[in-house]
Amino acid sequence: MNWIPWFKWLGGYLLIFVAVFVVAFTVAMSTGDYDVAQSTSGRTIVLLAALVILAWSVWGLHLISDGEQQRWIKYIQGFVVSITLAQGFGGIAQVMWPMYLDNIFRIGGVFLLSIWAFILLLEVARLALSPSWQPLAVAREVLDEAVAMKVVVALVVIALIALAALPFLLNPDEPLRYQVQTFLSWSMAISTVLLSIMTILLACWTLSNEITDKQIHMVAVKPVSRGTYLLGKWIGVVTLNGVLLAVVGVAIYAFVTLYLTSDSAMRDRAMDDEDRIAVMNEVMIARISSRPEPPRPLADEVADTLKKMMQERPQDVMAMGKDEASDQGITFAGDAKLMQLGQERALRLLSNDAWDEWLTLGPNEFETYVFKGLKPALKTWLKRYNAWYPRAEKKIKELTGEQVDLSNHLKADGVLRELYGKHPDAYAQVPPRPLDWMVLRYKIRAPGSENIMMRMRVNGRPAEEKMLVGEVQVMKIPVNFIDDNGELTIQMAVAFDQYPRDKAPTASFTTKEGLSILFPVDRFTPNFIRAFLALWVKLAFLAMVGLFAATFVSFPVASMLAFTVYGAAVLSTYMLESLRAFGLGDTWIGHALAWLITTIATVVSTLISKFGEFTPREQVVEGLLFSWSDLAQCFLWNGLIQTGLLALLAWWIYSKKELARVQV
Amino acid sequence: MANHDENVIEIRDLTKVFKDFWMRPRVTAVAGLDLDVHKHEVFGLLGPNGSGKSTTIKIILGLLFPTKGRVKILGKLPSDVLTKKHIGYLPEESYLYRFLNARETLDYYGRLFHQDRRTRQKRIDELLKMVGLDAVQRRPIGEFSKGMQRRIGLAQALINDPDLLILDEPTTGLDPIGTRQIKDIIVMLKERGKTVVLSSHLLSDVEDVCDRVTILYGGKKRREGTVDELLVKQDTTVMETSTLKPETITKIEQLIEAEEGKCLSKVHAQRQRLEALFLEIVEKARSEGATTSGALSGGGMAGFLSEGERRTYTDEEPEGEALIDELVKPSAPEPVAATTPAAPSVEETEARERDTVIDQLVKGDEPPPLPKRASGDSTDAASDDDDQPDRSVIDDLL
Repeated sequence: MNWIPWFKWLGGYLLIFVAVFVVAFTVAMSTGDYDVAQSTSGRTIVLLAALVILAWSVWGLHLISDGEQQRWIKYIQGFVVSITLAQGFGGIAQVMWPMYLDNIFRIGGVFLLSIWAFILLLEVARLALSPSWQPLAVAREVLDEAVAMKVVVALVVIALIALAALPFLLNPDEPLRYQVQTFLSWSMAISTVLLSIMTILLACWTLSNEITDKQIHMVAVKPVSRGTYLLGKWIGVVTLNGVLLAVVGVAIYAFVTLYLTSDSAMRDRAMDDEDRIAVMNEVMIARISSRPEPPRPLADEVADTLKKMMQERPQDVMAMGKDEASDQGITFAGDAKLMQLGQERALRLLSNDAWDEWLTLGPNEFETYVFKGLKPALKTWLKRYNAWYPRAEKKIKELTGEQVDLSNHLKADGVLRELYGKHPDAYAQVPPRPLDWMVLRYKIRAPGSENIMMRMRVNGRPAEEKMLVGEVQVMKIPVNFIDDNGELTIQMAVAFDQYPRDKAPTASFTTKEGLSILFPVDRFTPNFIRAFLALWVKLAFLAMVGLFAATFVSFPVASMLAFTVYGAAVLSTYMLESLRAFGLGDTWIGHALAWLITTIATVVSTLISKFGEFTPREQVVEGLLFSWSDLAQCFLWNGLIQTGLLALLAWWIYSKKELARVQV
Repeated sequence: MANHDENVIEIRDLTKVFKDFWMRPRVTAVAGLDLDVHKHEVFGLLGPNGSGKSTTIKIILGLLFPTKGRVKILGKLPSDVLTKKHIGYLPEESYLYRFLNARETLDYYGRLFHQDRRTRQKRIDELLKMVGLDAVQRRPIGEFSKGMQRRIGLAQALINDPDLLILDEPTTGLDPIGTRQIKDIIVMLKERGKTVVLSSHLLSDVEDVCDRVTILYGGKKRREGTVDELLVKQDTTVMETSTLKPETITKIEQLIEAEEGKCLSKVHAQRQRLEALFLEIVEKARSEGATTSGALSGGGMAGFLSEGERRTYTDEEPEGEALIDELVKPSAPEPVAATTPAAPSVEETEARERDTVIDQLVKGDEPPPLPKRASGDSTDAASDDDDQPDRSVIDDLL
């Protein structure tokens, strides 16, 4: 290639730099104002230089697009030019919006870095797809196509800009834990949605467009089976997803850990110590939520009650059957059917009752809740503590010059208190101690009351807490309360301020957030990685949905279809619920139609419902564990079963397809 | 002559009906076609637009499925994946990925053939030189002209050194040099014992290279045979000499009249063939150092294509051929096996056609398509008789 224009370009660029320095220096000397960027003349110089550099980088872009050279040469050129572009914009920003300069630089920096990380990883992926295995050849073609497809690039750029800009939309007056949660939630949601859209568009396009544009005529006549070809297309889309998730994931992770929750960042940003502790123990953590188990399985109890009811009052069951039939819109049902429906209804009502009763604290009575399997809480806490105390000791040594011993967690509190008494400044700088307590979360419903007093015994230790009705309450329970079996038995009773004991209304735990113990079992990082792996699996499924749709319809229809399936998959859990109540009027046509629709929809929803069942994003945001077993199940259901079934179907349709016929 | 023992393609009672959404028959593209392509022959599928040539080819390749009938290719069903290792196919247009460059494109197709990296690189280098796109190999295909894309299409059809090469309208969009090169390649592949199926409505293409042709119309076979069988005009004799004096011609005429009671129907001076003229002009421009952003002349034959057994081929060297060789040699970087394919004889051309071509070349426009026909070589009795050989056949059909 011809290097001369490039040398000219680089030479000119360096010349501009030298010239700007010389001019700025001269101006500073002559005016005596050394803070060049503040003075009017200085700002004019910066602005002019920025404009010249901007023009220069446009010339650079022009040179890149002109040449026909190796990719890596283009990348080096592109990198240099992108830096000059950034310099140009940076210079302008410095003069025009000096107050936002930090933010502009940060957004720009993150954006630029992510773009280049993306390009670099994409090249790595291309390299990984080089071995001469046919599907990999097809996959690499998909990667190249994705880059050539402007929609894909646009979506990637939007995602990266959004990610880079998101931190500055956070409200700094909020507690840091909410800021971190907001950022995690939004950044993961934005990237998931944009990547899903991109995946569907690319998957649909890459397959259907080859038929419309007839490239398939030159591919299908090569010794490539159609299954291999589909596999290659899928691998291509999935590889691209992997690259994008890696870039986005690293960007989010780096931002959260370095910018929001590093020791120094928390010192600046956290509202107070409690906020700091909350960030480390409620967000940047992977916790398990454990629910109490009834002393005897409630289902057994319910089954017994039902049996008794059937023997003693069959007419009641029959009546329930009639109710159920009319609820479900079934007009024609024999006695046997009615009986069966009645049993279903009774079982449902009875088990609801049993749960309600168990979760209800009547006046003058107490209930025992046993939380089992809490050993990991103790183990994890020790692990975290052992990771923390050398760090803290080192920091204390640095700050105060004192060597303290924190290895015994029972004595650590005293040691620290004494230390902070002497060195109050050290308090905020020592990394927060991992908490040695779990969180008991509960929410109580008690009609007609506002304040109640909870009286409990936690493994025999008494505790008392005043609480507001209808709010989620959080109580700290030290991990060493857990007994040797890993169990925690909590006896609870309610005392109302405003009522005498025997006239108090009943209070009950609401079922959803009713009663649970949260305790850490893993660190944030592995949890975050698992969550992103799960997102990858889900995108892989979406890629197959897109390919599947494109095997039998053209691009616009295929993408619409794929988006519909995506929507249905996301909402399938709700759909399944609403389908139970679905009806179309009390005529036989209505019934028939409703039956048809519900049957089809139920089958489809059940098949895809596993998609909405795994919620890695929500779990990461809430600081809840997304376990290996969750990931394995997600892989099994979304990755193997759903994707596999769809792949078989796609393969079957595609091999029956006349590829030379243009579809509409 | 070709070995007839084995059929490379066997079609029996092939029918293809295109149906609409409601499964109502719309178009019958092929109706009860029987066809055999023998090993080692160059077979021509002739017919006007819409006569079912492309449909037949697509069925052979498994891109369409027959409505009725049986198709075998290299002894296997069209759906058999492995047979495709031995097939090269150039569709009626080059359907390429616009975002890949020439080199990446060929690399992609090479990978689909399971070729290892070294083989791929070697073949791609040779093919790019052969089709004259060596210098623009890093430009995206989307920027290529139609003819340049056609050359890439040809290169990808040859990348596996196919035993059976199927070319659908190979010369559309190509300049005469490219056209000439395709013919050379066909002849050379035939020499190496390969089989070529050529579909075209450009009769000169077919006539120049094909051993046997089938003429389709309305999806049915109308005529089949060797080119010689089909084209010999039984009631005409053609003689060719260097320029004669008018008196000599008068004497000959008198002799014919006296001996056979017939008269001379046509006497004319031999004209240069348009193809030769075109090549001459391009060569001149090149020697003057004019630049082009398009395809350069091809660099002879790709090495891997001309390796292996060859049959000796003896024929007189026609004037056009010498020029081609001259054009080809300077840009050929390594000694390549020179080919001396069938000799196209000089063809008569209208003077104004010639003027138009020169005009267009001077203005820098696209060259006009090839002269509609090129007559066969000197063994071809009908070569000098204006339009008749091909058109009479078509007229018959219509």
